[in-house]
Amino acid sequence: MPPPLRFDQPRPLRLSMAWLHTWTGLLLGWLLFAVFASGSLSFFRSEINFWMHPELHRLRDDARAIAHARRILEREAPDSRQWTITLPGPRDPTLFVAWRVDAASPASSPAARPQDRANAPTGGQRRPAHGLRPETRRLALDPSTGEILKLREGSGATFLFRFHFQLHGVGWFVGRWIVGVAAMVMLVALVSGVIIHRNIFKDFFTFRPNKGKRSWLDAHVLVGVVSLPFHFAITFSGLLLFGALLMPSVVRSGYSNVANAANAPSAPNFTMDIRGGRDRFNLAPPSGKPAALAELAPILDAAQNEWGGEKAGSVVVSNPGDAAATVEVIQTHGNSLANRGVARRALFDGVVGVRLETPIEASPSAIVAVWNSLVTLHMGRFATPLQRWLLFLAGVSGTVMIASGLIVWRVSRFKTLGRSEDAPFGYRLVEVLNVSGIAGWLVALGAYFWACRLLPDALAARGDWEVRVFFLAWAASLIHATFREHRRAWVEQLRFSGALIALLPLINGLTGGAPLFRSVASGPWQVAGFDICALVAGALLLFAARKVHQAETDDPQITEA
Amino acid sequence: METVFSNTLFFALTVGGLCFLSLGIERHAKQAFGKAPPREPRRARSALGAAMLALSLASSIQTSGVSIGIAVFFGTVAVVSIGVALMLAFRPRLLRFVGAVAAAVAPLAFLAGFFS
Repeated sequence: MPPPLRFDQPRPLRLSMAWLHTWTGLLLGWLLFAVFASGSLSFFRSEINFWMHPELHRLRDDARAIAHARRILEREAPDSRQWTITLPGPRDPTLFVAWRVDAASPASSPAARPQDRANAPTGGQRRPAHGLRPETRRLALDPSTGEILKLREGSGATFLFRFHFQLHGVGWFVGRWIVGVAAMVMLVALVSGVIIHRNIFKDFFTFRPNKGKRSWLDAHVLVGVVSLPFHFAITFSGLLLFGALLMPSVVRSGYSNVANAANAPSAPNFTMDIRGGRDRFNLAPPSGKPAALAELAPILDAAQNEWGGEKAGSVVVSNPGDAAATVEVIQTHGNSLANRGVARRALFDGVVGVRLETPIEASPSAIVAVWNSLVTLHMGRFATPLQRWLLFLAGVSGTVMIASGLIVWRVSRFKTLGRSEDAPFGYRLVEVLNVSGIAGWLVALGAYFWACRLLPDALAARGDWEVRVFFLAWAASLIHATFREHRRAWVEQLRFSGALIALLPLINGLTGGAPLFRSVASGPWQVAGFDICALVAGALLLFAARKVHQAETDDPQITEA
Repeated sequence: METVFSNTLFFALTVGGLCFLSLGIERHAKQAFGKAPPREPRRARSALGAAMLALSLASSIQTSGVSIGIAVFFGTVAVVSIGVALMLAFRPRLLRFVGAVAAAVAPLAFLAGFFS
């Protein structure tokens, strides 16, 4: 155990920083672990969401989606001024149609009843934000038949996504403040961690296994240092996303009407200025002369040919049925961070279907470009599958860094505090929270996915129950860790979480999802990917349980770990 | 350049660069070769590793643009570095082989991409 720091005496910088690193890291480590773990999973939000809806696993895209989307939109929203068609893509094969509801033209039709919309995976209805974004309605469709899908109620990956920035059950405002403070502390821990690390380059590749505390520290430093740029970028950009919330005075000093944005949509607005895109919501006025909308499939082909075969992600039809109609085709992902990862667009005349000149978008100002780069990186919006995997793995390395740091705290004190019968309360508290904060969170995650598949379809507020199962399992792990001997608690919870997660492919196949042997051979690839990841993660957890168990029985030296 | 060649080039440069950088460090050279080699060859390996890594950053930027290229570079370096560290811990001799293969593949991928 390091010597206690004396504040009444002069002390070297490195010692002060070590103290800071130890205690800030410990205080918020468990929260940061949960935030990093759920945030890393959120890079695969669409894929996880898709896995959690087995009724969608049969969907197949046979390239007729665009025609079905148009048919449904003409039926459901003939008066809407703008349609958005999200084509089935590699991340989610569901076809989504959305339409804009302007106050002037009530486009809600009887078929789009509130309960259908509530069942759509994203909540169906979007409220206008900041008074500038118009209200939209949204439906999920089968891409090969155009049938409106009634999705089973569930929390989906949205729960994990929301949890990573606003927690759950404390209200979004308090939750975001807590996560914001934790992110600030994470930055403090990162900077102090770099200062106390003596040989960043000489020890860059150093990992010495089976050496107790030495190994834990090596692992902590290794995953911390190799992904250091990611850790800084993801933490800082996370804070930046909360900028207006955490430092409201800064925004108010330049924008007098933050609170009144809804009442004065044309006035300067911070969110719109920093993100750009105010123009997205300004529609060209209709001509008033009716004209039939051009066929959409040839337009889509033309755009994709123009991009050398790269796929389109969505199609926006403005003023359908009017002589001034336009069709805009948008690529799936962008090619730069500076412009918010926005994709290439191609604009077409909506009546005759010819390509129109797109006005050249002004490059963003330096401030906006920096903001965009960081925020877009955080959200991974630009990412191709390989890049998404890199982001996910970097997130996992951050999660491992936090977990190993928490374990290092305990291992460093085991010799002096842990051997005695009456270990101090604080020491025992850290032991309990380490088990339930790390292994217990994974148990809760496994239980959450099980609940998603095993709760009865008819259960009222099914999505809330999934979340309840998550927290019940987490609470149970806390109780278990309190009453079990520390090492037994680790082994048992690691084993249990490993079993829960490794069995997910089986549960998936038995409860109506695409079974692994079929999804591996012929798709859907998202489901195969989820199931394989679950198998690998479960195997790693079982392996970890075995290592802890062996350390307990065999080697007195590792027992110190 | 064809995507498959540019990706191979980038990956080979990153793997090779990090292998040679690690072999330039005394402790790891000892692990991989069984004895600590003299200073000069270690210096040469460090320089080769740094040069390959610089080229890998350049190739990533060439493929994905400045902003995403830098992000992809750092992400790949992180993943490969953990791989190198694990190899040094459990199969240190394998590292020489992997480094040599990566150093051989990189120019081939470049030529293949150049002439395709």
